[in-house]
Amino acid sequence: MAEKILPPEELGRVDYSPPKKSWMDPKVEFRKGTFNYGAVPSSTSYLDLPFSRKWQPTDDDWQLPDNWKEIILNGLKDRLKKYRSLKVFMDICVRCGACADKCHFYIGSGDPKNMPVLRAELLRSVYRNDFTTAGKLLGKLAGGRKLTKEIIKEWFYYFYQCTECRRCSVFCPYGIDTAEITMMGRELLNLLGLDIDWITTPAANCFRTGNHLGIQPHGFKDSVEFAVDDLEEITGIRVEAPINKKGAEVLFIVPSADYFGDPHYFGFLGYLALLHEIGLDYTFSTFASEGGNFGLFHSAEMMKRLNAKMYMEAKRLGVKWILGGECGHMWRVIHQYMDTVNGPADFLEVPVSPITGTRFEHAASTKMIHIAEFTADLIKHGKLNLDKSRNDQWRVTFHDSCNPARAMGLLEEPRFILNSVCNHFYEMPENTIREQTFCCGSGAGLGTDENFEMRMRGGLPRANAVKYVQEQHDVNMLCCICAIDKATLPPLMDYWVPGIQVGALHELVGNALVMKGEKERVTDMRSNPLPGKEVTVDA
Amino acid sequence: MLTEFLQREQAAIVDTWVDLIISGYPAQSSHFLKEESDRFRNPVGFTIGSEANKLFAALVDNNDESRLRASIDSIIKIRTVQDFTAAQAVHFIFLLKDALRKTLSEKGKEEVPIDELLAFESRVDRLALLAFDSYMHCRDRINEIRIQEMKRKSRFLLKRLHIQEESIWQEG
Repeated sequence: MAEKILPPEELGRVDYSPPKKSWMDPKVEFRKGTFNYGAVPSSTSYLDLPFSRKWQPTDDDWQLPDNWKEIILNGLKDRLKKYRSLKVFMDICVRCGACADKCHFYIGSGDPKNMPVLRAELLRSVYRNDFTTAGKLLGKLAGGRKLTKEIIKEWFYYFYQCTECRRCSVFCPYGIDTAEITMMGRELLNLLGLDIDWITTPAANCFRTGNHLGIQPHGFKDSVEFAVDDLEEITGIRVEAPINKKGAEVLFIVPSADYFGDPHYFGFLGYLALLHEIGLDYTFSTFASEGGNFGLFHSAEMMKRLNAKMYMEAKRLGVKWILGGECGHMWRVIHQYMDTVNGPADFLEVPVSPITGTRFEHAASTKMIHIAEFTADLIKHGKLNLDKSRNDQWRVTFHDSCNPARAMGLLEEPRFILNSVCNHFYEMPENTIREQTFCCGSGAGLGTDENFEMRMRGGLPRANAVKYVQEQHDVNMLCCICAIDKATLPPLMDYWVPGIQVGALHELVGNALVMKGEKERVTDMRSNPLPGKEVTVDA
Repeated sequence: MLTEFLQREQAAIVDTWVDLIISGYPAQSSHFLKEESDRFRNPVGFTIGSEANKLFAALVDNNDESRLRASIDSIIKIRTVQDFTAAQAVHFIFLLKDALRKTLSEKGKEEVPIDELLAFESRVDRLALLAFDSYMHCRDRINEIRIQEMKRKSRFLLKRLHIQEESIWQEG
């Protein structure tokens, strides 16, 4: 039967009246472009995850196991017992609303269930109903909700609309870490086999080969050698990039996108140039060939499984300490979980820079430091010869990646480096940077192309601030120190702020670094002509 | 004269228009979208408010399309990726008619000649067509950017296989 045709002015009309349904109504609609695909069975079974099957969020029947309710409630019970923090987070929220308008997904969508308080309430209401006396007696009156299949779908929809960036936590007067509530929500979903592919397949790859992309040792070696060739073409210097070298002083672990992704790769060239120039005795590992840890976005157990390889490799190769590349969530794992999950790494030594003698006391337990700290220390001690003008083609702003900024307080070092390697650096407005930085909108496993529209929504606040510095200062580069950012900010910029390139911090370091014995540089790390050298390159 | 009325009542009309646009968002969010004035904390509300003002002023002045387009694009770009159908995404333009009629009925019914009102409403209709063009442009951009993203992922892989045709990477 034909649908009733509305008069033209009624066609697009939106209902302005407040919705009749309350927030307790869990119904969600999975629209194309706003959700992630379910994990493929080959990946879930590789990781021995429960209820491995082919399914999609758009299916009416999610093929939940018969005892799904029991699994979820027992899972929640176990976690409440295991994590005191979860129990506290469930009980102490007074719904003051301080977090409500701080989430980038809420700001970009206006969807109330993206308010962190309400997203947490999706889980908290079930907790209330089944785990508190008031909830057991009064049910809905006490803010409790009976667990239903619709609630499972709602959890899936909203817990995968949180990038675990923790901006909301900065504003919570009680210190509730909403990202950890999302983590628990995802863990519970995973108990029913409701994993997403963008997390599970990289995790399975990493478990098999040591990196998210599934690159095998010979592929890793090829990639590094390729980079050595490229760097030689740019600088005239053939650097050594040792792999699996036993007895090296330092193990250098980078996110796999650094040696395969665009624009990450240009930063990788910068690392190679820098480490050669200072003569660091280091090695890569073909097995710890990934700094990132998608296990963090899956479950504590998965994070532990993937993180272990770093330390096993450090032990096998007999290094003293570990240097980490430009990665984001890797640093949340290292700084906030590693020590109690896999550590302490007491077979390693507290990192000491062999060039400056600086002892990195804050890494006394993890034995691992970020390359931005390492490089900032080198510059501070005048160990690098830098020519800022080789970055004059860039007018740079800096995006504080959520995890290095909020999980490890890496705020000053990247800025100190930027001010040392380029002449044109401009900050975005203060309520969009440092601890208050806005997420790229694609972290925590959400950076897939099928989720593109949701990513554009979530990335709007970040892009909006970039647009401002583009208008004010003619900025043309957004620099960052996170591999997920480097993969997902370029499309975000293409949509919201065309004309902005995304680059790695060490790409700019590599450009500015004057190496001993180098040929006259005519191109930057991207093999584009340096300012004033255009004719030389064309000729 | 309609123009004098529109200029005098610009604030009231635009305010009503913005209210109507924002009430298309969930009720729990309209207060935030309307009241939070920091452009970085509330880019959606700020863009709707500031661009609606510019659009209205340009319509009253009967400016050419180029002045209207930038403002239309700013709002449509946001609505394209929000939870709206195509019709809902562009529908906010027609709400200007509602806002105008409401303000007219309250403040100036007698003084406006009907032919001028109809002419102004036709301009609003043209604006709606521009909005539809803008919406389609945004949808196209999304698809193009998704394709670029996929290409970017495999760029170095293909380079290593010595497949580096310039034509693969150029953007249309």
